[in-house]
Amino acid sequence: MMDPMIILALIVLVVVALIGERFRRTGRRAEWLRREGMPEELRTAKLVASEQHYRCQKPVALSGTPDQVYRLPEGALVVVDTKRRPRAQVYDADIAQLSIYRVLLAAQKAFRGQPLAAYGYVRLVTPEGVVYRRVELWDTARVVVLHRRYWALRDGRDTPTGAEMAGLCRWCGHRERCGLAR
Amino acid sequence: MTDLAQLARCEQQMVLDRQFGKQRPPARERLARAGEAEHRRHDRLARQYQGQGRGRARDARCFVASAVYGESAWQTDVLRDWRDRVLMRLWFGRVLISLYYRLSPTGVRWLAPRPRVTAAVRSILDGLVARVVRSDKREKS
Repeated sequence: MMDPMIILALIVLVVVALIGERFRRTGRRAEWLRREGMPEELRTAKLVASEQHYRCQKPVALSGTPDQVYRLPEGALVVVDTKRRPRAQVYDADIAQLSIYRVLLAAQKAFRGQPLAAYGYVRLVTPEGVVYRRVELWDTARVVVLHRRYWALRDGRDTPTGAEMAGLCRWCGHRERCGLAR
Repeated sequence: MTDLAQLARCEQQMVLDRQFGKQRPPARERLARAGEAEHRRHDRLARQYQGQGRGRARDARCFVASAVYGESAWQTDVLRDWRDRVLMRLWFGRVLISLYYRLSPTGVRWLAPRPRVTAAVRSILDGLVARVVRSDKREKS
C-alpha cells in the first residue's frame, strides 16, 4: 500500500504542473497577440472559421476559402485575408478578394441572419512584422458585375485589359507572350 | 487569390493562365510557397489561441492542381475538399494520397516549363472537377 503522503505529494505535483502549463499557455497567447499587432476588436472576437472552404450559387456561383472569419462581440462577422508582401501595401485585388468572401459568407446557411461587417482586414506579413489594414468592402452588386466580367472574358465575349501597374508585369510568367506587358 | 479577384490585378493574366496554365517565374514561385506556409502557420496559431483549438489545420497541399489552377483557385479547393471528404476516409485513398505527395513535387517541376502538357493535364483535371461538383450536387439534392 502506498504511503498517503506520497499520493498527496503526487497530486500536488500534478496540480502545480497543470497550473504552470495554464500560465505558460496564457503567456504564449499574450506573446502571439503582441507579435500579431491585431486590432482590439479582433483580439476580443471569436474565431468562427479558419481556412474553411465555402461555395454558393446565389447571387452568383462563387467558391473560396476565406483565411479567417471572426465574430465580433456585438455579433457582426469580419473576414481577414493574409498577404505576404515586402511592404505593407493593400491593392484593389485584396479588396475584391475580401468582398467576394463577404458575398460568399452571406449566402451560407451557417451564417444566416448574422450581420456581415461592411469592412474587412488585410493581414500583411512584411519583413518588419505583421500589420492589419482595415478596408471598406465592395457591395454585392459590384461583386456581381466583376463575376459577369469574368465570364465574359472566359467565354471570349470581351477583350481583356492589361495590368495597371508595370510592377505586376515584371513578376508575370506570361510576359513574353502577353502583348500588353508594360 | 481566386481567379475572380485576379481580374482586379490583370485581366490578361487571368485569360493567359486559363490558356497556358499558371506560369510563374521561380522567384514568384518561392514567394507563393512561403505565402502558403504562412497561411498554414497562422491557421494553426489562430485556432490554438482564438477558438477552434481542437481543429487540425487544413492540409493545403495539392501540388498538381495548385500548379495548374493556382493554389487558391476554386478548382483546387474542390479537389482538396474531395481529398478530405472522400479519399481520406478510405485506406487505399490514404495510400494514394501519400504516394501522390511523394511523387507530385517532381511532376510539378517537370510540368512548369511545358505549357502544352500543363494544358492537357488541366483538361483531365477539369473533367475530374466537373464529376466531383456533379456528385456533390446529387448528394445535396
